[in-house]
This record gives sequence, C-alpha cells and structure tokens, in this order.
Amino acid sequence: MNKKKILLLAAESYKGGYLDEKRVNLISSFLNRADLKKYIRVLIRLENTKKIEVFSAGNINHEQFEKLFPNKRISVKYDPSLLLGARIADNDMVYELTLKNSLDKIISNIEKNYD
Amino acid sequence: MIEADQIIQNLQKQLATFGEEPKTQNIGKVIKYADGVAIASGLSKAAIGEKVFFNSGSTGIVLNLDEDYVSIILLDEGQKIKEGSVVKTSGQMLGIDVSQDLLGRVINPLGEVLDEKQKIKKDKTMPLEKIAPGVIKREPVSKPLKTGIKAIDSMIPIGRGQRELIIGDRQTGKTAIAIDTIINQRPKTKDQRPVICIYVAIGQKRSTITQIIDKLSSSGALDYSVVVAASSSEPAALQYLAPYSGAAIAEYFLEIGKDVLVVYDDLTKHAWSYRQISLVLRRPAGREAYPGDIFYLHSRLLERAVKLNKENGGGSITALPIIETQANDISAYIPTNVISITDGQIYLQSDLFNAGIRPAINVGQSVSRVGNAAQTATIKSVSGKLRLDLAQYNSLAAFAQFGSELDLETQKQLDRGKRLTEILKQPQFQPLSESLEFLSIFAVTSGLMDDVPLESFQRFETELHSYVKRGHPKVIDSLSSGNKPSPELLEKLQKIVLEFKKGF
Repeated sequence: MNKKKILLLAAESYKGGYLDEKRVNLISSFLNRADLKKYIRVLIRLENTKKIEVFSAGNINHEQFEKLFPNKRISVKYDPSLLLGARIADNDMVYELTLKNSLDKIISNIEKNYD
Repeated sequence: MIEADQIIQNLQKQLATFGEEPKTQNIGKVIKYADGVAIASGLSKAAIGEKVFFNSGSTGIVLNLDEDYVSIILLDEGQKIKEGSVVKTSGQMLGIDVSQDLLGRVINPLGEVLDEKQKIKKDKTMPLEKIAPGVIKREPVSKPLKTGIKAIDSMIPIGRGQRELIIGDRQTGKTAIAIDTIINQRPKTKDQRPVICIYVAIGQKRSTITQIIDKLSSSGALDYSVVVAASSSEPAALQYLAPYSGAAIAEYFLEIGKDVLVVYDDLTKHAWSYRQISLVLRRPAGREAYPGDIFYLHSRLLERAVKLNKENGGGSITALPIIETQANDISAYIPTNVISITDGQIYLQSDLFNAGIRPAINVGQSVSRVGNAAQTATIKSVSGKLRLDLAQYNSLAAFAQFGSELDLETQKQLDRGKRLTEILKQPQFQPLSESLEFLSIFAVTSGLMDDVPLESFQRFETELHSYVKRGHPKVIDSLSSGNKPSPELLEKLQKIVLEFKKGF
C-alpha cells in the first residue's frame, strides 16, 4: 500500500479530534504486517502533533495552557528537578524556561571557558 | 589569566539572561541504528550537516533529510544508542575549535587532542564546510613552494596556492615526498616565517601515523605543523571529516595572512570512507559503487586551496593531495577525478622505485600546470635544459634497447641522460636548498660531471655541496637570491667544480 493511502487511513482513524478505537481496529484488520507497521508509525506521528506535554516543578495554570494551545490535549507532569519554570514539549519541539536550564548553561560556560 | 572580578561579572551576565529567552530544542527519537548510522523520527527543524547530540552522550551529523525521518552518522562508536534514544539538534554546523596553540599538536578531526599534552585554548570556531574564496579574492600563483627535492623543484615546480597531486602505487614514496616538503619549510634564517604545515592522515595505520609524527618531531618540523589523524580504526564518519578539518585549520591561518601547506594522505581512503557512508545511507551507487557526488566531495575540498590577493591578506593554502593507484593504473575512477581537479600531478612509478630511482618520479607523465610561473629565475635557468636533455634521453633509450650500433652523438646524449637520472636521485628526508639544487643540476647539464663515474655520483654531489658551503659561502648566497645567475657567477661556479674535481 502506498504512503498516501496509509496517511488517508490514519486521518480516517480519528473521530471528533480523538483516535477512535473501533475505526483503528477495523482498519488494522485489513492491513498486512508491513503496512500495519507504517500505519502505527503515522498514528504515533499524528498523535504527537495533537498533544502537548508540560513539565513543571510547581503548580501550573491548566486553563492558561489550553488557551495557548486551543486544539491540543494538554498533559501536565510534575518534575521537581527543573527547580523553577516549565518545559513544554510540542511534538518534536521543546521549549524550556527553567532555573535548571539556566544553571546548566552557567556550568557549561564555566567548563568551556575556564580551566 | 582572567581575574576573579571578571569571572563573577561573566556569571552575573549569564544570570541576567535568565527568563529572557526560552531554550528551544528540536528533538527526535531513534527508530533504527546500524553500521554507524542512526535513523531518527522528529527533528523536523534539523539541517544538513548540523551537529546533533544523543542522550547517551554520542554526537552525530545529519546527512540525509527525508519526509519522515533523518539519517545521522555517528562520530563515535555509539554503543549506548538504542531504539527510542532521544536525539537533539544543536543549531550548530560542524566546526573545529582553532587557535595558534594547535601548532605542534596532534588532533582528531573534531579538534580533540590525541597527544597527551595540555588542552588547546580556543580562539575561533572554523566551519568544516565552507565555500571556497571566489575569483575576486584570488590572484595567480606567483611564489614558489620549495619541496627541497631536485626533480620536483626543477621540473614540476609547485607554487603557493597550487593543488599538486602526488599519485602512485603503494610503497613508491608518496608520503615521503610530502614529509620532505614539510621538513623543507623549516625557516632557514631567524627572520624567515615558516609555511604552516597541516598533515591530514586518513585511514592509515596508527603505527604509520606515529612514525610520521616522530619524523616530523625529530626534524623540528612539528613546531610549525599540525597533524590531523583519523586512523583506519576510527569510524568512517571521522575519516570522511578529516580533510575538511585540515582545510578548516588551514583557513584559520590563511585569515591571519599566513602561507599554509596541507597534505591529504590519502584521498583514496577518503573516497572509500565516503562510499561506505553512502552505501549505509542507501544512496544510489554509481561507478565502482561510489555515490554520484564523489567528484564534488573532492572538488569542493581542493577548491579551498587558494592564493589570496593583498587586499585579502595575501595568504595562501597549497594542497598536496595523495592518491594511491592499483597496478600503476591512473585511469581508474578516483585518480582521474582528482587529476582533473588538481593543477598537476607528480606520478610515482613502482618499476622506477624498484630500479633504485628514488624519488621514483615519472617525469614524462608528471606535470605542474601553474607552478612554472612561480619558479625562481635561478632554477629556471637550468631546468629548461634539464627537461630537454631528459626528454631526448627517454626517447633515445627506447631505441637503444634494440642493441643496434649508435653514433657518437647519440651515445653522448644517452650518457648525459643517465647522469641526469642519477643526479636527480635523492635520499629520503634530506631536502636541499635551492642553491644546492642548482649546483647539482648545473654541474651535470654543463658537462662538468661527464667524467665522474656513475657509482660515485652521490658521493661526489654530497662532497661538492659541503665543499662549496664551506669554502664559497658567498656563491651560495648569490644563488639563494632567486635571480638568474650572471655569466660571471656561472664561470666562477665552473671553476669551483673543476677545482673540487681535482681533489676528488
């Protein structure tokens, strides 16, 4: 099966913006092993584009993030190692505004420039 | 030494930037990893040639961008990489940290020190891939780069900014010529600036590289040299990057107006490493399984050899690429490619080497396309006759093999040819100054050595050199000026040689 068809099937696996289990099961029953592999890969990629992961050391205002990313599902995870601030993972992009990152930058700067 | 106040100020500056800009990273996940190549999904913002970091600590470079994934070649063994490993872009193209401290050091293509000396302080980061200077910044090759080898300096002269290929079978003395050239760049006087030399070892045995470093070190040539080593045990990616690192270091010195010599030893193995990478990246294979851009691989590297004009610093990069042939076949794929890119070639032949003619240069098939313009008037005054006499000898020698009786004139020419061939022999690692080169060639072409037995030629030459150096230093000085020798000087030289002959 060509790539275009796989993409089409993956797009049809969604109902109201959410992955529909029935549709997925139906589609997968018609696919051979190689095509199923491709189908799963495309689904993972599509899923990644529909969700946002927020890592934070403190409390997060969920509504604020929903406004920022209106069409995406937001999952918040607690990560005390960040010390302060938040890290947002949007598919393959990661935005980080944390104290940990700033301290890391200082450490690497010292290591690079001073013996 | 940086003072404590400044260190604290720098740290405060770093702290002040906190909260200004978020760190943005493009990440991906490894789908597949085999043969030093990782296939990763994500990384939608990655660029070709960009450096990427794996969470296992490995580093790689992006070499292929596909619709759904990118292909990354690893710069280390990457033993900890597995499916699902996270990989991050760095936003940096591959570069090498350079400074004056590199002189006398042995590094790998990433700039990491291989000798056990102290860390190299960074002055600048030079990109490994850079577009060569355009025609406006350049000027024609006009200054010679002396190799100290009589046969080359007289008949196949190399100019600063030239690309001269050294080609030949294994064990014919290709590296020896390059090392001799590096040794010959040692300043003869205190005021003279050395040509900075960069020796790039690609895919060679570690023992061979060690021998070369030892030779450079013992002859005092390492002080003005940098050795970039990617031995055969290194990953193919490092071997592929090695010549570009050498060129990047050369460009650093070029920017500060220096003359640089880069030896790429050898580009055959470089082509092999690139073929290996291309095959594992599943790029379409062409002739001899090399990828389609194998010509561009070498042309973009050698195009970085340059002679800049005065407005741009006046520095130069001379390239001496080396190619190893199989069974003296210079019409193979890679040799013909590199021959067509370079400004000439020094062709070494194994049968000449085995016949004791060392350096085993095939004068007929060796050529320097731009070097003649850079030759000094001193050496030019003898090289014309030398070339002509040798050419006549070579054509006559073929006929003489039939064994028919030869007239006196032909016999004379054959005898002169034999003597010329003999005088062009030179021991390894003993480069000569231009004045001594002139002296040797003049003594033969003017017929002054016609009665010296061939077996005593080497001894005669060595003793003549020390005789003139000791007894007539002014003559040596006059010959070193680079000007055409006056008839009076030539007459004086003739007398000196005849005088020496009496005592020989």
